[in-house]
Amino acid sequence: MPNLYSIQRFFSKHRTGMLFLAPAVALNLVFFIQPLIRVIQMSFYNWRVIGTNKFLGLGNYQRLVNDPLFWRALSNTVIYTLVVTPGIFLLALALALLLNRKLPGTNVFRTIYFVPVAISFVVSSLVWLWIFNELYGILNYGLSSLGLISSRISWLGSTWMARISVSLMVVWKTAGFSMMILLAGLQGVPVQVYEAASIDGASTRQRFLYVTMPMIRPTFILALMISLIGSFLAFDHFHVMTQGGPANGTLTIVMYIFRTGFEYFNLGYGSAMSIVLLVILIVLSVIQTRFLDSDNVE
Amino acid sequence: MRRLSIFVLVMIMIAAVTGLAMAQTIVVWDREVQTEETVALFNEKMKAEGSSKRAEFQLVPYEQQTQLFLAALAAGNAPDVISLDIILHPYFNSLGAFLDITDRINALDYRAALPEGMLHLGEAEGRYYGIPYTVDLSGLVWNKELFREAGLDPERPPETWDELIEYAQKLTKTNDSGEVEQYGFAIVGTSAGWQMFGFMPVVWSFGGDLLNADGTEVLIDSPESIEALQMWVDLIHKYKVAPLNSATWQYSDVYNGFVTGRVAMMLSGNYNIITFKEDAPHLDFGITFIPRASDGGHASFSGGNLMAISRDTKQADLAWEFVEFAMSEDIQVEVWAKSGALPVRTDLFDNKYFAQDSRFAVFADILEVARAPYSTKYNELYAPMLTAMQRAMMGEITPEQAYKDAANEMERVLQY
Amino acid sequence: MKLKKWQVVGFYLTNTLLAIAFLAPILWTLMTSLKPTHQILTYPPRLLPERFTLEHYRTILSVNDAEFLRYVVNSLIVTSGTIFVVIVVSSLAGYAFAYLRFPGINVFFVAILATMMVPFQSLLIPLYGFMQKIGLLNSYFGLVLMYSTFQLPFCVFMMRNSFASLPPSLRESALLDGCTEAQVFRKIYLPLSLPGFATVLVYSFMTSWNEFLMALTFNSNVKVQTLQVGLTNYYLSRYRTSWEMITTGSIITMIPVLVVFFVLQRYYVRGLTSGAVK
Repeated sequence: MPNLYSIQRFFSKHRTGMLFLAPAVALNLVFFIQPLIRVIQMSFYNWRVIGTNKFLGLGNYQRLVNDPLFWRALSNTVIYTLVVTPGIFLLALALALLLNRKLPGTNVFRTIYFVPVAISFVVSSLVWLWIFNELYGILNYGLSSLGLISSRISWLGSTWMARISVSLMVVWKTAGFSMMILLAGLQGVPVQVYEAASIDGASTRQRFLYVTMPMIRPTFILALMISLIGSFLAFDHFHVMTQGGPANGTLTIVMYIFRTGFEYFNLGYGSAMSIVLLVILIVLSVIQTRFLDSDNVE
Repeated sequence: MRRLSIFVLVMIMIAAVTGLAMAQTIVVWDREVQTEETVALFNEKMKAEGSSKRAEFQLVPYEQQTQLFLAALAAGNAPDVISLDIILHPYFNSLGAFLDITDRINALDYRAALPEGMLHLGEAEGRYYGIPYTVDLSGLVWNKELFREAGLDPERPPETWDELIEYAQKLTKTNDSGEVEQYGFAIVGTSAGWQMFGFMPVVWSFGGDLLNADGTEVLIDSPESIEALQMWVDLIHKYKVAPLNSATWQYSDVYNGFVTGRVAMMLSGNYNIITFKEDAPHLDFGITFIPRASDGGHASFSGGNLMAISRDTKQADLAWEFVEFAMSEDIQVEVWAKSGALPVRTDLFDNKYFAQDSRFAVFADILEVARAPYSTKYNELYAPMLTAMQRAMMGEITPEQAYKDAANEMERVLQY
Repeated sequence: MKLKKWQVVGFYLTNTLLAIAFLAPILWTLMTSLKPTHQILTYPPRLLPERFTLEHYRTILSVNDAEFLRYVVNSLIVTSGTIFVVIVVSSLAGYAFAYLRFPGINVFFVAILATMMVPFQSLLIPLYGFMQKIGLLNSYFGLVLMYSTFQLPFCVFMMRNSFASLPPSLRESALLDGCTEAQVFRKIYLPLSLPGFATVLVYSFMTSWNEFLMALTFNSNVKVQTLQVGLTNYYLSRYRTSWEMITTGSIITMIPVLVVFFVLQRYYVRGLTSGAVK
């Protein structure tokens, strides 16, 4: 039996924290958890929009386990994430370090790297699709005019080329955003710490590894997580640039969920896939936040 | 307390007033901007007649069409009138989303001018739940300038696939380093919808089909269907008149290739007459039937929208008044034909806009041979179709294997 | 730290090359928006227009009695409302996650983070029904609350990191001096977290300004439509990619985001110049 007194004590002791948290939790409960519960409920049904829904128990989840396309889509998504994340990160970190100084023009360069972030995924996919076109795209035209390639490259012609080309677009599109987060993190590193390290004879490389990296780790992990989750939920750019092809080679998990729900009208099955995806992502992030918290004093 | 009661009273009055206004307003959804114009004209007409009836338009982009409609349907907030992709109607009719308008349709004096094939897709158990509102037909376009350059008669497009292959070989040009500079023919390989709109008529012309008439049996692995796919793959790999990577070519790639003169022939539709004029005013092109198998007849896919009235509407009469307005000559000709689309009523093909461009005339004949498959699982069926097409086009598997796999997958879908 | 001369030269050289690479596709977009329609699809590709034209910009700005302006106003209302709610809510929550932890608080953290782990399309049907029930369809307020909820994970995380990077001793000594928690938060920690705020503001502005699916779903009435939704009225054509309108629309919509970023980035350098905290 719960001890009322201790519950009361718990609340009064942590009242301030709870009050600070209350608005965020309220929004979360009403506009996210509440519809999410409905999605969970839908995942147990053959859900028919109007009329009677048929209860399937774990039927949709069983179907998912035996659906080769679900696993194909999941592995495509994991591969894509593994290709694109290091790309975004290396570039973003390089940009942030490069621009974390006070030279004239730095502001302008920062804004330039942020420019692609400001347009939508759909539009940049359309533009890159046009740039990538094998026959009359400006990229092949430019490269061959400069004599850099002797035959036209089919940028979206095979599964791997398509993955790499789409990743290239995504790196271009999102590196500026990760750069922004990392820059904010770099501000947390007091100049004195660098100076002290320099005086102690630390090399640039040592300063980066032992001073910069540990201090920006929280923001680094935030940026990494945003980019990981973003890649896992990739939809628009594949939808526009490859439509999942060739032969489902770039079908992502969210594309498959979208098709299942809104093209094939299996809303219950689509919901079940969303829930499985959510569980996978929560597990991944809990591992990440643990990693982050291990260093923070509670 | 007093203040509260005044507040409540005011709220009730506001609710009543808006409620009254609402009672005279219907909501119309479509993916086409022309319908926005139609709604504006309808409101103008109502105003001129001194009526307080109004329609309110919402543009629903194609990609979001089903999401939004399902959400609104589930919430009991469906629009009074919706114009929806024709192939989706069998599914929504299986849910009972729409109002039975059979008697209203049969009472129309131009009833005979409505394409039967399209009406059929809005039919369930002998009753009509949708009326053909817009129509898109697939055809073949060819670049007359490139025909001339290749020494072909620019006024004589290919009639059969054998002719198309012969012409396409003459129209395919290679540069010094062995790369193809101009393709005789290009294929849309990425979109499932295009495999139906463009390729299904090819299958039909060979005597094959996707499904039997009531959508219960899969026919895509019949010898005739496989023969059609074999010919398609041969265009790429044997005759090399279509891009090697056709499986990854999108509609926009094919379209832009045609507009820039690097593709001589493509499958397309009536709507290109107007888009080509905008994008390439000097392009000299023709449009005609999709070629046929040498022993088969021409075929075409009839896409487009049916207009339906929501089952939940509280204003069925006003909704129908709007539908009739949208079907009238004022709209079908003065809005649709004017914008380069086809009027859906065959009695309106003879109009002043089509008189200005002889290229529209052929579509009256194409409409005669056009059809669309009927299935409540249409979208789910065409996914395996796309995979099969792409794998065959890439040369990964034989056409026979591709359609056998597709048929297995489709049969599984039909069982669910 | 003084940079050597070769370092400065290297800095500008690298940045210039990178800038060209980053800008090339955007310049291509800009040039396209300045070409007459029939010059857009040509081979070989034409880098510069034969003649520059502003006709597409004029079309977008003037069509239907300049309804474009109404979309801009709607977008501004929703965007600024969201920024306000998000900043208040996420800084409070970020502070709690950084300093006012209690057993079990991580459950809330995960719940908030989970918001960005569900494809929004899956939530669309239940959310639409709910919004209709509580009467928030077609309202600015409904969209603001929805945007705020889905922007919280990033913003809360960001503010939490921002507060956590400040020394906890500041808070402890202020509390000993008799300040309340609210005072510590408002007077000490908020002013010191400018880079975090700048990031949250840019993120929230950009996300709300560019959001499409929720705006289309929940604010379908033309009176409350936002810019991204309104622009589809010009793009939309099933058969023809309307390059002139797509490129023009994107150039127009990206400008405010870039201005906000450009203006706010001085807060990123402020930490460097002031030598951070004592």
